[in-house]
Amino acid sequence: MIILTTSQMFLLDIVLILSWFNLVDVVLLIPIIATVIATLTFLLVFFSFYSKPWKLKGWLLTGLFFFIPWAGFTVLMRLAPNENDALWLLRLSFISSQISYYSSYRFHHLMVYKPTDNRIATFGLAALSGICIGLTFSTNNLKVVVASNKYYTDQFGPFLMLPNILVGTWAAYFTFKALSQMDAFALFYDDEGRRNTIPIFMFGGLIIIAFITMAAWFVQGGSSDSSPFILIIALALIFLGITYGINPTSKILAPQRLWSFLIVHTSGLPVYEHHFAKEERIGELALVAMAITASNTTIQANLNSNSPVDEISMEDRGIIIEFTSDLLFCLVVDHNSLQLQIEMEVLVNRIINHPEFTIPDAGGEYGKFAYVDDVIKEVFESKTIESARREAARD
Amino acid sequence: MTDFIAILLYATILISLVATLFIILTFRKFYAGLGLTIILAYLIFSIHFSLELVLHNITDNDQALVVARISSVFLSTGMYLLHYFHDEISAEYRERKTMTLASIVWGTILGAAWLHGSIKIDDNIHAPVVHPLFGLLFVLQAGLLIYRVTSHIITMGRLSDHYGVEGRIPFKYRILIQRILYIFVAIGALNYIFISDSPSTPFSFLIAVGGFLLAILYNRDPLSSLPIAQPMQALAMLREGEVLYLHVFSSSGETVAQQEDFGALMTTLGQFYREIMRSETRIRSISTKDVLLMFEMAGEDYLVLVLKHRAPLVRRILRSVAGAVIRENPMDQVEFSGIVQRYLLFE
Repeated sequence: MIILTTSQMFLLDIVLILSWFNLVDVVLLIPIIATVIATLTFLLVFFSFYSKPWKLKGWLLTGLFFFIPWAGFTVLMRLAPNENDALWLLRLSFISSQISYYSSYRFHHLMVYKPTDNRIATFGLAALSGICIGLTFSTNNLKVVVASNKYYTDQFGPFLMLPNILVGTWAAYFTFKALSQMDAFALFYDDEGRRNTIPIFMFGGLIIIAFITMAAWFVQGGSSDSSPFILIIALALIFLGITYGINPTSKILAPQRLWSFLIVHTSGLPVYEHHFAKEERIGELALVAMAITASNTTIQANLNSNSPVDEISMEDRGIIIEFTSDLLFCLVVDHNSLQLQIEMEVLVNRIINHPEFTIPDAGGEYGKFAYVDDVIKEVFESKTIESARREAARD
Repeated sequence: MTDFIAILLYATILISLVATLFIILTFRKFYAGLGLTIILAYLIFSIHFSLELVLHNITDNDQALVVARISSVFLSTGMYLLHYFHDEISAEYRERKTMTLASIVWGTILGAAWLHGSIKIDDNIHAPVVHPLFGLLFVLQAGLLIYRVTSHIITMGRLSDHYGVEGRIPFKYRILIQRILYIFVAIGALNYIFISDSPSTPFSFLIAVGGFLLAILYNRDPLSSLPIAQPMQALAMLREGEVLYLHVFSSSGETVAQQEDFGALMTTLGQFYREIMRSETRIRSISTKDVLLMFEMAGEDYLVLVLKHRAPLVRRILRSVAGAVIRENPMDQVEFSGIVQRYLLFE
């Protein structure tokens, strides 16, 4: 029986580790790391957005979730027992990436400052993803080869590469645009409120590198292996994880500028007001309250509507209105959006479900709504932080 | 037998050309971009049928395969354009999920058409064989299309009451057509599932006849020329706080006319919000869950459209009305109604 001394065991460990490194090639290591990063990013954002409604976070979580099988199936593909299995795993991985790209595009498209009704992009990209999925089953466009007698690696043909570049670039463009607009990069603001542009260039750089890599593959008539590209996406995922999982600024998703939040009694009397930026407050609250209730009464009475006014829109200003039987909750913003309407619903639900909530008399008891300040801070955290920062900088 | 197929294909092409002619006649005054979409869809269907005839006369296997693939792409593209057209003009505007799914399916068909094995030329060169999964993609696309087209046709039936127009196709027949078409789709799906070597175009003739019936239905339906199939109530032109002209679309819109202070109220609201909101621009819309007031400026005058649903297409058409009002400067109610008819009703 051989008895090893401590030093001998240590040496054996070193040898084992080295042999393991020898076995685990970089082409296997990169997708393993990417799988771990994708899983962590998804979990981080999932728990960070736990209290947000699904309607709002659905596309984001779908996009992030499908990066896990995208990287995970690549690992399995590398280790597949035969070529046929490897090819099927590669197809599944590729289809997952298409779902991720499209979901990321949809989420960030809804996030941008003025979400246009971009039908060509919305339906055109869906069709391009469909083309990619269809071509995945062609062995001329997608195949696996054995690298270094060890692992299966993927090879993309140019006809699959082209629509894939288009979908990926478009998704990345909207992600970048929305992140920039929603002040997600504000995580990197310095103490004096100046925006640090390095992370913006970093993210922009990642998009450009990814684009150049894929374009170079396209020019060559096919890819060699997607490991470098997987690494780029993994870095982008770290960035998204920090942005959505840790950054408080992105907790309020809508990038619109908020002006005021008002509660008005249906009798026309103002009950509560909160201004996000003091120097930019809108006109007299009493007048605003009267105008809103007058519009409400007139439209309901004269135009046979069964519900109160829910939106008043101007070219550069809008009022989103939620209502109960006695109260109108009004949010004055630059531009309306689906995401902002969802945030507004959350805000109103928290206000009326608060233990201190009571329906005010027609006289309007202002003091009873003092707790709303805290609810607003909770829901629109970053916006209140941002305005406080601006005021502090001005003082 | 071969001659019979050739005759059937010639008949199919003839029917599709007549249907295209009907569609061109029906939508000739239609809002340019979208009228063109349905006309293009029908033209593409005609090309598809012509390619089927070309396929019938080919003797070379490789050429037959290429033609069969191109023909499938044309068929799928025609169906997609028809879906897009109905999605854009429908009252149930923006059924994004259906339209997105239709886009993915269309793209998948385009990609899969070039795969080895999706379409094969076996013993009979004139009847390419379709892979069951590829066939099911077509069935899925047809199912989505039938859902979209028939729900639109049913909506048009409901709109007849709103606009006080006598519908020439009874409502129950609209529902019946929908059910029959769904049964066809179900049979198509079963065909591809259980008969793995289905020929690529077993239903060419039926598709042409279906398209022809749809074309006749549109041609006969007095509401087909609506640029947007949704219930509008009234369009008012306001000047200096007064309702200068008012075009009432339906009986429910008359309540607007009864309001003496409607014009003053709308103008006041417009100016009021501008001041209290410290906005440099003018009011665009006020909405409740079931009524939408859409504002558009025509020079110094306000146009206020009262309708049910928000849709970008309505805004674009309203801008055209505003442009026409500025250009033509209507001097009385009749002239104003003439402009409204031209842009919002296409009568």
